[in-house]
Amino acid sequence: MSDLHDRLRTLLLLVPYVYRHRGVPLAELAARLGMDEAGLEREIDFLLLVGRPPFMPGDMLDIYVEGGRVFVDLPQSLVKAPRFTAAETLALATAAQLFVTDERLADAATAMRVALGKILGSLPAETRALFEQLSAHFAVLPSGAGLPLLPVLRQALEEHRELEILHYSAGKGQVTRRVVQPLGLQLRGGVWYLVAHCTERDEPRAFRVSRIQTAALCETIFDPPAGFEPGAFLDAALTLPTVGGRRVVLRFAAEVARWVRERYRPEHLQDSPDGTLRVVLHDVSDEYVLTTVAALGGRAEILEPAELAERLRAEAREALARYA
Amino acid sequence: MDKAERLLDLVALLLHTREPLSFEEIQHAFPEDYGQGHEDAIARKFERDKADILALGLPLKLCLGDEYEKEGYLIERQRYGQPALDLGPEELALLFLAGSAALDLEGSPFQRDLVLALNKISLATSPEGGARSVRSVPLARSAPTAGLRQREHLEVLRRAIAERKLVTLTYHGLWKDEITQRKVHPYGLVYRRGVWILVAHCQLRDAVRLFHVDRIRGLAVNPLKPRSPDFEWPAGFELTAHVPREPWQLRAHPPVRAVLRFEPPVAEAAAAELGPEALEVREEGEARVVSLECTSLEGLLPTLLAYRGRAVALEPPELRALARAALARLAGEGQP
Repeated sequence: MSDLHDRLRTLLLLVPYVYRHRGVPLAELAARLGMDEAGLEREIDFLLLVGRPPFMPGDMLDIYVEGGRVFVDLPQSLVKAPRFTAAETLALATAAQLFVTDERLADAATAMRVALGKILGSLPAETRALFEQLSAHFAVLPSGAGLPLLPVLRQALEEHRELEILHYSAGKGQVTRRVVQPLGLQLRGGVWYLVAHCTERDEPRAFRVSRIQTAALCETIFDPPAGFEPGAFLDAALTLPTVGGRRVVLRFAAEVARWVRERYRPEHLQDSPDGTLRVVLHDVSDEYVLTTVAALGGRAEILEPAELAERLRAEAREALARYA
Repeated sequence: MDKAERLLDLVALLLHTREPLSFEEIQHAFPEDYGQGHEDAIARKFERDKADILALGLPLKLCLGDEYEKEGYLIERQRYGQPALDLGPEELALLFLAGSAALDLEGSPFQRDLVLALNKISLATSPEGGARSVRSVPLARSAPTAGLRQREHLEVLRRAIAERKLVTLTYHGLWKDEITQRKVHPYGLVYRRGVWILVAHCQLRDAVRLFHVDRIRGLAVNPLKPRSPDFEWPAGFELTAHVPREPWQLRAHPPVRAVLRFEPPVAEAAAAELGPEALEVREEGEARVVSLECTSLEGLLPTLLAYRGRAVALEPPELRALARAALARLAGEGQP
């Protein structure tokens, strides 16, 4: 699908969307269509040029922004969204695989299959045939941990209900209980994260879903913050800082250097002539460092700080004793 | 006239008309675009525009003309608009949850399609039913997680797979640190643990091979005969059967049963993380004992070690030996 086609498909959806939601805020419409506001305004201006021959005033699209809201008066037959294409259906079906392949989510999987079935049922025969031909060639494998808590998380996200969770924090190495306001469910590198506002710390946090041991719905309903993007927050939360806090220096053996290069940004890396690779980190937790280095089983070591290197050795001696 | 503008005008015209419009009538309606220049060039331009309209998935119809119907073109109104969908609140919520998570799948090849599809769902369902769940999911992402190049590659591969075209890859190998050129028949794309994997038949090896899309340095689709496929999909081909899910499922040796014991406080988390792929998860008080079918003990070792002192390998002896050696190195007793 070329850029032109993507653009036209977006515009053919934009007009019916505004027709249905008259006075939709510009910012909301931009977010829904995955565009920035300036770009959306340009497209709205462009749409004013569109109409039907003989292009008399009554033949032109009349779409405009007023007081930050978007209106359409003369939609020129573009009152309905075009049908799903095979690729759009495929996009939904692959996304649905995130849930339907998890055996423990039988109810959710059934609901998802039924929903997809309804969409497939609405397709013209040739679109459906194309979808079925293509669908065997694209797959999304769910993450190892799956999402056994999906039903309760879904309900909390949908109804904006607070959740009381029991969560194992790797950073602290202990289980804590806290009340959170769920804002989004996101997948990164095969790991599910719940992005939620932590009421105790009064700031958004990301929780690995596999480390949430229990989650109970509370009666409290909350107002989600406007304009908060869970995905962008999570990306920032998963990015390691490059300045400030305690400095940690790790050395990786040449055989794992390439693996390391793909996991850290260049600002963290220092090459050595012998092929080993140093990684300089700031303000990372002990648990993060110990876990990263331990997993490589001797192909990495902690150069700084010395006490953390000693702790890793002590832990390893203790673990070794269990194999005696 | 700008091409996007002309195509939208054409769609509006052909969707609005009750009776088919002949090419002459369309020419007359667009004098600047189809009325001037060489006849062949005009005909080709109109052919391309028709192809674009069809590529958008719109039901453009050529009526051949008979005693009841005029000859010409129209877009069938009945087949144009998405009919209403009767989706319940739970179904809607699940579609939007899965959809918004999938939008962030490291540059999904379906990103744009997914945004459009989710909006179409919200337009095709009643505003009351599940409006809340639909509203609560923002579809825009300010910062896409994957690089621009990877997204372009996914887009090109997606098309090559659908059109069954031969592709030449410039690939940075995972095991040997070298860049090679491979001619492949792309069979499909699989997303696993943050990575998009191309499953393709490699001509050089005459076998199915996996390629990480983020390691593809260059990509060229066979430019010859763009409209005809270069290969056939093998009958009964099962895409996911070729993709191991976990590092210990790489086929390095015959399957063995590996048994790991996890202590609190990681026992629950480990059971959740490894459970879905496990042969068995047994409770021993607070501890969890997980059995896995393993075809790469080397692949399992980092997972075991990442749980640090709270995990111990019980079986097989080879895994215990690997763990002992690794822990000795970590303890500073062996070679660093």
